Amino acid sequence: MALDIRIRKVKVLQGRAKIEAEKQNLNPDDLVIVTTSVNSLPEYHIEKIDGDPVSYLLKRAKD
Amino acid sequence: MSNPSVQPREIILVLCHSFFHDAFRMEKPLSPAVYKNWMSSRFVANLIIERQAELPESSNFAVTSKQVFDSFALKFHGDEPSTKQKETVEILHNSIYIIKGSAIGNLSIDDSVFVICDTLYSLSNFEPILITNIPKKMEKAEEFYHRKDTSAKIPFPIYSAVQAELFLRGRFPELCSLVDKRLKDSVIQFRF
Repeated sequence: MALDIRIRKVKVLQGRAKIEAEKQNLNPDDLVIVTTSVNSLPEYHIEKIDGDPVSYLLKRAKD
Repeated sequence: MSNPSVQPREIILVLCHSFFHDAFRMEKPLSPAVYKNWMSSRFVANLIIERQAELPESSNFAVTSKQVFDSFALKFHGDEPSTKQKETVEILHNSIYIIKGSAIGNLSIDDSVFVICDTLYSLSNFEPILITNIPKKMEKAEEFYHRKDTSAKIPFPIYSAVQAELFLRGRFPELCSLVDKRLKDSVIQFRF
């Protein structure tokens, strides 16, 4: 299980989470699920939310 | 003349269990009235996530009690949740401030949200708005206040999701436009 998982807007990300988002060419207003895991140094996995977040989360939980 | 030392109150949404159950239900309601509440609940839930996603992590736009959230989580994922279901609940937990204090933990689901609203209204610069899709919640709130003082009035508004959507569209027009745009691109298309 991840250390932390939350939805953030790309434009508020900082540091290495921001670098991860930049690798995916995301827009500042895109919503992303940021999953933080710890492997000595924290690692940030960025997952872009397509469409509205509620529908995305429901579909994600069902898949 | 306005008092310059008085700060405008900041809107905070206090969520009842009926709101969660409507916002995160998968099946289409058959009745048009329920359908409207379902769509508005989903809109407001999207707005909460949208706004919280850009607020500092110490600030909150929506709040509820632990018993309300736990009731929703159990109904959402059942006794044996999958990893993705647990993650969904954890994501929502991080988008909404959950009050866990022992003083509130022993209260009923209804009383817990009334106490949160009253405390936010009385002790802070917040403008709490209770969102519920249960029509009798207003009567329950009156009963709650009249237990100690029969002349007491409910100091905060109680809105259905439909009323809350209208109110929030007036207060947060730009964010609401963004929510509308995302809803048009929804990954789940419901047809009625």
